[in-house]
Amino acid sequence: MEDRIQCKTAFIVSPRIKIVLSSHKGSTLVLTSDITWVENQPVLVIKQDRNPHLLMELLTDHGVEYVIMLVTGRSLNEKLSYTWWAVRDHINWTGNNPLRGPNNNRGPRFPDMSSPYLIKDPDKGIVSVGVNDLLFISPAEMRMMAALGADCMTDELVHTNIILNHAGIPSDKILHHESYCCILWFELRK
Amino acid sequence: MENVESSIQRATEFLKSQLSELPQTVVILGSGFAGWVKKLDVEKVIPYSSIPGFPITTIKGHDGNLIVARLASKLVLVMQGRFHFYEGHSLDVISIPLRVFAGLGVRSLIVTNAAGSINHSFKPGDLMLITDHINHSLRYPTFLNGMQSPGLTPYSLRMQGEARRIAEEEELKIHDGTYIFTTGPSYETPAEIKAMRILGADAVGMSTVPEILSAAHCGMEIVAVSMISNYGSGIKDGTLDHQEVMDTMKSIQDRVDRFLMKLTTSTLS
Repeated sequence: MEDRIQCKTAFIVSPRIKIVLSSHKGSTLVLTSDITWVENQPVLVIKQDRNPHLLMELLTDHGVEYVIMLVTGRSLNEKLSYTWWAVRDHINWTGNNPLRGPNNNRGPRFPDMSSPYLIKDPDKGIVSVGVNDLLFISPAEMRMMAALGADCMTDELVHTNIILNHAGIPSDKILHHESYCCILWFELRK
Repeated sequence: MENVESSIQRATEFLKSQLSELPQTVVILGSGFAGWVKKLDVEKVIPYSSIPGFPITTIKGHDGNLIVARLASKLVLVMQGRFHFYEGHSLDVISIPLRVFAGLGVRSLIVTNAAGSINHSFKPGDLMLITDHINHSLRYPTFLNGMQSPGLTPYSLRMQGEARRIAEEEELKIHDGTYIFTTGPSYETPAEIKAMRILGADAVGMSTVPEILSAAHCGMEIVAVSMISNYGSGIKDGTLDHQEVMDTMKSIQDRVDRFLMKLTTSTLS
């Protein structure tokens, strides 16, 4: 029965961290999985370790219109501190794409990615490079990715963002999504 | 899934039975180039679906036929439609046609594609002669494992010279450039286009490199030409779509057809 609850908003959260929301009324709320009630409104909470291909089914079943992604990352930029950063763009360095294979009817065969995130201003937000594993990256690879324009590395963001953008066209599907990355690893191996 | 080696054998035997003589050259037509076949003296059209062991193409603009044509009294094969990694084909499957053609005695390969510009001076409607490539898929056909590299470059300097000469004759703008192969099917983000520029790429697309790698190891002489069909993300305002690719190709079709015709003829002895 819980699956039929209509939730306008969904959080896609990293399983690495516990998200605690503080409302303006002073109450706090831990984002756990499934449906969470925020100020009497149902919010869908999805752990990032879910299969991204099942993600859109879940969001559509619950009538979600607004998605907020909360992921974790590893810094490539000395100016980034241990805090949340809005993501502005990404570089897919995974060698794969979640849309590979037959196209489904949620979006076009070749989705436009010219504006993949909410933030458009090049002076705001950070650029994340999507990798398959955050830990087994060599110092040379980190320097390379920084030279290519990335501010941090994530392994939870890029494929999901591609799927959301694919389904977001036309705009009567998911209307709005924004992404934030929390820097967990700040060690820059030189 | 059928074994790739047996697919190649079956396809080669089938095509040998269909052809009146062995072909010298194969041309792979990319997005928007399919209309060139109307200018050819076509002897036979063989749908990919009727060739045992051949993959099937699923993309709009790629019809899925092997055209057998005669040019300057020689037999030429034309792939009308190609196979892409983003369709779900492995690089080994994408290599099947090239290895079949090598088994038929094909010596020359002309590859065409549509590509997005990364280099600011490459505009939609320009041609780019691929003089080098970057394989951003981070993978290779497995049949290449253990094989010796074909050399520093798989691209024929002789055929590149011919391409430049013919482009000048047809008053087509042609740049030399590096093509970067990405998996697709989503188009690139502005950050990815910027990163590719830093890496040294001039244009980006979702095909060609797997075919080049396979053909080079089969000993073919190769030339590859991109049609710049759109600007990469972040270079020009606005969204990208597949129809933009098709529209750009249509506007310069005649000149490109003549260019291809002359380039193909130059490969025939």
